Amino acid sequence: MDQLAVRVENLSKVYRLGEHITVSETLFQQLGVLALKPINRMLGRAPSGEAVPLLKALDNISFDVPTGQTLGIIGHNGAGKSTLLKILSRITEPSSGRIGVRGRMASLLEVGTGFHPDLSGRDNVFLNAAILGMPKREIQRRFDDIVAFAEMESFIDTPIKHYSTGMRVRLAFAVAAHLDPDILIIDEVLAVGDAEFQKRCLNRIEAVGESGRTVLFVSHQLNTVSRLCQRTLVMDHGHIVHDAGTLESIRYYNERLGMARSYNSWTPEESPSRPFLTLHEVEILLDGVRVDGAIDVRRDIDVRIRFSANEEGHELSPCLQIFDSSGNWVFVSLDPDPAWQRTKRPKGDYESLVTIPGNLLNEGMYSVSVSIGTHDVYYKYCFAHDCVAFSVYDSMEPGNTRGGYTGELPGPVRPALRWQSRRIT
Amino acid sequence: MSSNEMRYLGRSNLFQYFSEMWVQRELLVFLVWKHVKVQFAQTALGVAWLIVRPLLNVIVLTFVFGRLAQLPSDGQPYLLFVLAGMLPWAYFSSVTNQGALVLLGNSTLITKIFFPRLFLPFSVAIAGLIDFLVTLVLFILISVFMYQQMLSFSILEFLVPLVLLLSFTMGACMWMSALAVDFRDVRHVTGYILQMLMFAAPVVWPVALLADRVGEWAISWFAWYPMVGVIEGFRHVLFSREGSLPWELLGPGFISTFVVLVTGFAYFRWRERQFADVV
Repeated sequence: MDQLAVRVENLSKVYRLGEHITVSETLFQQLGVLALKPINRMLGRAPSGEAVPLLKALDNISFDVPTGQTLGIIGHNGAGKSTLLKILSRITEPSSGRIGVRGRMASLLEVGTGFHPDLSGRDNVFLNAAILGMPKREIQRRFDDIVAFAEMESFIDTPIKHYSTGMRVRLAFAVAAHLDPDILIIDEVLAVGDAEFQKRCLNRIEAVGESGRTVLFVSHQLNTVSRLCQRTLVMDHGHIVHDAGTLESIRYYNERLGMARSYNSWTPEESPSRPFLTLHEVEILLDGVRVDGAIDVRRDIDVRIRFSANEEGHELSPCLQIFDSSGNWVFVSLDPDPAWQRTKRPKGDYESLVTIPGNLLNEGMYSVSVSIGTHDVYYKYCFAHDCVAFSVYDSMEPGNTRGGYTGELPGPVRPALRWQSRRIT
Repeated sequence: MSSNEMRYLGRSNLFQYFSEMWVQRELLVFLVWKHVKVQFAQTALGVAWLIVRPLLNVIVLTFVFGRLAQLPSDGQPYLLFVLAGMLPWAYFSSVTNQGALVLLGNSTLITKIFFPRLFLPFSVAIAGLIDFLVTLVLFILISVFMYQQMLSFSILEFLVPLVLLLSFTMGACMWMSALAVDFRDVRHVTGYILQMLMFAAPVVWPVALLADRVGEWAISWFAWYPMVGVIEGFRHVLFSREGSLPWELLGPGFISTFVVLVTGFAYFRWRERQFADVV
């Protein structure tokens, strides 16, 4: 069982930045540049485009995947995950290095690749399956299973432009779920679809993994990775920075890459503040314990800020700022206690604990910035931007604000509001 | 290749390149089928377009060049003369035109999945044969019923200009589709170039006219343009002309087509590694 399914050796991919711009320039402009080159050279001008900056999307990566393993790949956007998958699926070629593969490989980088809106669901199933490499006889054999999995029996002959997005995704994933390759490469395709269907897809991928096939799985959803993968690679800036069991890799990712770094501390020299003030640490706690992993949407989240006033006589008012994963401000909160407002603090060490109530923030990643300054006109003496972060998830257990609704709730907050409904006639 | 061997992905040699295409040939069938089906989805006339398109084309050309301009037509009815010319020309121009766009139009496929990229221009060229066949049947019907000319042409002789037509079209298609990925102006220019090429080819005028007005010497140069041999070859067969095929026109056409085909393939194969990064 120690046979290798995939072997990646010293793989690099270099993009020339700005290549896209020069490339999409018109033929005539290119001809013009070519024609001007000798003239420029005669005039002693350097030919343009010599020092093109290079982007190393992948920098000398090597790893092996034994047959039957489900390997997760996680990392920030731009860490090189997608480039790696594209090279593995032969869509683009590496700049150097090579990849060995044992067995039939299929990749699913997008749900519904090649779907055509004017064709019926039936036609699209055949087309999509053929594009994904399924032989025609096999498509015919599995067609009914595919339609049943998607629960689309009654619409299968309707052009898919009349389908809702959810229906398209269901049909597309049903096709993909019935591919039977030895190696399956999946990129972030489960981010779509309703919760119920997502669950069935996960079960399906899990079953594929358990049947002795090799799966390479890229996702931002760490809980999905931890459910499916035995081993996980953490990528950052084109390197593999960690390669271990999934739980350990996720912990590494959370702590080192700051995606959900729940603790940050500074020595007096590093402290992002004035000399009369030292910010020591910011920590996210649940019931007094440092957070490890995602936080249930129902729980209160505490943020503890520790700092020192090194001189007498400054007004030091701590302030909490929460941003969502796209960098939008969710809210800002100041300590409203009059004891600390507009008062000069004595020298000493201080601690502020601020509680974000449960059932307030929606699911997602949040980053926390902390500042300390004067209260009115707010003047920052200290600002620790994005110093800690946390993620909120919904366990779908009772006690959340969604009632029985299983779809996605949009928006940054989902507070527990008071509803009073009654029949009036 | 046994599934128990580790095989290394990478640049394949020509043999691997074509055997991979052979393994995936079903996909080519599907792409052709999609191309055809999509063309007729949501059209009021549907498949009738296959007949209406060439018919309208030929009627307009006959009126303008046959009636108004009184161009000679080798002693044939002008309608038949121009239809025999349009048969290969319409194939060449519509396939080249669509071929120039086929990679750009399928950019989502190219960036999301690996498959032999040549299938895209191939599928356009194969789907175009349907139009070709319909036009051919149309020609036979008109010739037999309107002009009472019984056709008796040799299939073997018919294949010669057909092979030349397909090879030249494929060569042009590979060039244009790959160029269009790198240079977006190709798609604007294609229609314009094709229009000029059409009047440069003996579609609406007979080759004899060129010999007559310019001189015999012009024809030997002109024959390097493959569509000359193609069109005159088809006319020779379809009008059951005496003697052998016009090899003096077909020969140079085959040579220049070979060059276009080989360079087109080489260029396509060179550029296709970057399609996914650039398209």
